[in-house]
Amino acid sequence: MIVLAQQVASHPLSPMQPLLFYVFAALTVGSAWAIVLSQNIIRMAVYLLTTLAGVAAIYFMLNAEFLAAIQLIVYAGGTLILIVFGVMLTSKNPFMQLVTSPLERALGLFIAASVAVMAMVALLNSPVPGGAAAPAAPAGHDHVARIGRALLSDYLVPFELAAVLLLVVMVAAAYMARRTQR
Amino acid sequence: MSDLLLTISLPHFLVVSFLLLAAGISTMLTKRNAIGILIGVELVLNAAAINFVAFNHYGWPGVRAAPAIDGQMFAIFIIVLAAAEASVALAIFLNFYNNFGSIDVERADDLKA
Amino acid sequence: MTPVQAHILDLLAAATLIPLASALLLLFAGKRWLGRLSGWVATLAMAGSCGCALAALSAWQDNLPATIVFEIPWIPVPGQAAGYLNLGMLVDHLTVAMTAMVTLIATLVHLYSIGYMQGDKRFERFFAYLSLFTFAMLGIVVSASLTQLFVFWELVGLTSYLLIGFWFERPGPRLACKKAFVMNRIGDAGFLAGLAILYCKLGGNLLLPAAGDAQTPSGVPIETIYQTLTAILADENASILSPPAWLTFAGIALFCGAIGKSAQFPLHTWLPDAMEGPTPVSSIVHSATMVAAGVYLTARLLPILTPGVHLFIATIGLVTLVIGACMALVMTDIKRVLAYSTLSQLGYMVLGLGAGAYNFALLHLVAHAFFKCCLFQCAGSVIHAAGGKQDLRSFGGLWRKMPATMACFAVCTLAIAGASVMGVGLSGHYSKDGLIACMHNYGLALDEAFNPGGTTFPFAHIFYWAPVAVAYVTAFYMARAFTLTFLGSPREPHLIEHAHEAPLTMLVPQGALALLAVVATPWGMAFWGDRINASAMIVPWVQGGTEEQVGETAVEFTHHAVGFAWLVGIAGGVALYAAGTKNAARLAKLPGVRLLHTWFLNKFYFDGLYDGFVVGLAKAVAGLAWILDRAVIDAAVDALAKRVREGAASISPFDPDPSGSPINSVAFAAQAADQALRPTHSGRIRLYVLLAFGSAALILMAVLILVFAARAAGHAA
Repeated sequence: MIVLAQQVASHPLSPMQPLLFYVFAALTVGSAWAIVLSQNIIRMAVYLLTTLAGVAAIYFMLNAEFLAAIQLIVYAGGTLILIVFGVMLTSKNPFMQLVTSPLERALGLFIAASVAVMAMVALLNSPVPGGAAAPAAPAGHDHVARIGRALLSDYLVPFELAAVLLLVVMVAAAYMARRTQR
Repeated sequence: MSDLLLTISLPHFLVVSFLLLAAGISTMLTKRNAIGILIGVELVLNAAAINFVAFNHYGWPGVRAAPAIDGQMFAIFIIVLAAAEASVALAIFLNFYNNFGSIDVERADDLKA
Repeated sequence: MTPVQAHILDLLAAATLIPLASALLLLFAGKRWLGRLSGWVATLAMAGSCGCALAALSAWQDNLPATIVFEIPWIPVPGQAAGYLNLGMLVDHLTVAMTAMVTLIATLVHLYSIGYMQGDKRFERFFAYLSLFTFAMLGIVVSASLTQLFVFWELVGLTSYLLIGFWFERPGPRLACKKAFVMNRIGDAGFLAGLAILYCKLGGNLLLPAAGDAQTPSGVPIETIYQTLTAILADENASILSPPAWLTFAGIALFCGAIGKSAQFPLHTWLPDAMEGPTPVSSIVHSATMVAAGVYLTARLLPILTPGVHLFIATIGLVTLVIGACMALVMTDIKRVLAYSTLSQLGYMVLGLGAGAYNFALLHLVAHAFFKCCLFQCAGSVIHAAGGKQDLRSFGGLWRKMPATMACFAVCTLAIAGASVMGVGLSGHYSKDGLIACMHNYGLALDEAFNPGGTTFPFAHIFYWAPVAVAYVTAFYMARAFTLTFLGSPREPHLIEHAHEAPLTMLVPQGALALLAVVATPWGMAFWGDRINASAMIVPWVQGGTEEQVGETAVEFTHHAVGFAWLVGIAGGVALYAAGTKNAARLAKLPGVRLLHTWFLNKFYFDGLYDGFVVGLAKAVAGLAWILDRAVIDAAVDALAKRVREGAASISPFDPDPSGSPINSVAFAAQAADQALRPTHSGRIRLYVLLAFGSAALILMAVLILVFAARAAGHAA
């Protein structure tokens, strides 16, 4: 058994990476589609959590560790909590269901499927470097330092704009969600 | 074939992104709960971000070399915008809920022509 | 690779993975397809795993070297020689023995749970969590490297959270599981810090030190953390005996993880609260899995811990030993008595490890696992019979209704008290008395270390006399629990009326564990006896680890000191409590005793201290922040706003007359456009989405068709 695991793992092309990729891709895509099929808003939020975590894992596989951390902290930790709060504040019964008609669901699935299929067709007919292995990360690469430098040089204007945007959003959200005196 | 399965490269990530995009679109189209729609939007944004990061990592022949940093920067801004969008959207939903006593988007048609 | 080693590796891998498989099966298919059968499925799977582990144990030969397989690539790390941080398995006598012990107890606990959890609405999920918990613990035991161990370590933390909070509808378990989780996180922060220090100093392959020299299955010697460390220290002109500060710090940090998991002082408060979980959970948490993990980690790392860390470990163990026993004396909840008893016994193990009594500490771990698991299961049966009542004061006279449970409880009480007659005893006798004998020499050695030349340092001998005293206390509080529960006349007859013997699924594991508590030690003695020299080799500098080193004097002395502790303690306990709690209550009123009694009963005020201090601190910080917010930030913002308003008021007279201005014409144009576009606004948000993505699909299709057409034209041309 051990020997078998070793052989699988020490295959020249596959040091665990593909297996992990498929696990995380299945997690991401599976829970994303679970959101589509679920009718319960709380469940949707939980599935969104696993999707976001799966996307973070995919960022890890793409050597984007900083982004993965951001994804977990801001997205899974912040945005998702916000959504759950929204759910709690906006439903007297958190397990309420708002059902759409089967026709609408079929139409939605059709549109989504056609977009995805056409994207795949485009992909299959593109000169994508199909079998090329991932370029090895250069020794001593340090994404955080590079990202930090880029944010304060090339991307300074978007960075500042984002800061202003967040401020505006904060004020706006606080203003809109305030308890109105009636 | 085994090479295609065992060597993970750009197309694999793109396929994940397409499937995520499709899930997001169908979520937006099939939910009546406003927060469900918001969740669909988050899925679509994530699909886009995966695309950015994947192209950033693998590059594109003749266009740009890998590894670079720009794709990751775009993904960071996507995350920032998603957070901003979610907070504003939820504030709107709260107001909507206070006025209509429900969060069913079918009922939000007071502004129609 | 020699066939035996390959065989053992396969068996242990199977023993580890079977519980995972059954947990996943139950998690995904339990509710829908297995239903009530899932308890038996999980139990059979555990029994299979136990069979593998026992087969590995019997295949193990004492002269086999420690074997490490470490070739499964896990995380790509740029700095690593192989390019990867690997996963693997470590097999030596400790692994083999621990795996057998864990799977054996887990199987019996699974069996017991079938009876205990009967009728629970999340029956299947309980077994899924229990199997996952066992898997996590087995993962710790077979892990080859410290980094890999950490992953399973956290998994144990997570699954214990799920199990302790299994009845999360009630507030008690909810708080208890949170507390266990937070306390463990505090310890794990230390573990992580220690791991980071070692990682930075030694590189990524932190292979756990095995007993003796380790080799790969093909016989190539492999360097463990111990060899790497000694080599690095030799370069710095240091050694583990005269270490650099970072090594001592790393050792203490790593031991913090064990403090959390093994519930040592000062993070011990979660363990008694964990009683809120179902009783089978208590029985497995308190015996073979979670608390054993900390002791196992300490035992594994013992060779790389510096003398300072050893003293730290021994001190922590000593404090835990004493306060646990004191609190066990006065608790009135049967499960809490056992919980504090566990605390105290863990103190023995940790104290023994700190003092270098490696063999006896681990022997005590195994012996304690069997009898404590049995005691908890008996307590569970009693609680079941008494309809959920847990108060010792309302039991009494149960021996008539539950003779089999009483017999098991009695055997285990004798085992934990260390009963022996003419040198033949139950498991607790060998492990605990041996450990105390080692402490004798440790006390002497410390005395000498602190006072080179002449004058004695009496404080050092507390490391010997405290364990001796606690041996008496142990016998006493166990006799108290036993007497109040089973002997005498019923104090609340209506409780006893409906009492009945536990069902067979609960009785069988109880009996089996009681039997194991009797036979475990001779088996353990035989197993460990041959390894005594090996342990002397892996911990070369600590005193008193082996029977030869313990020496005749210490053994003789200890026989006199604690040989009859069990008899004295049990006789005292039975005599005091045979007539109920009256006599004890009178005793507790005596002036000196009263103060102690209040202290013990309030658990030394630890919970209050933590709540008061930590929460108070947080509140103080919050208050400070509030003042800052009001006084500085708000004031600044208000001032700014005022200034802006003044500015706006000063320029408003210059605003031109609005009618006919270019701005208005833009507005009119927009209004006209709006009128034209109004019909498209149906107010149905999903229609907008449909239109947007429908047109996106159409555009995509058009582009594709254009591209294909262009390509076809190109081919044609």
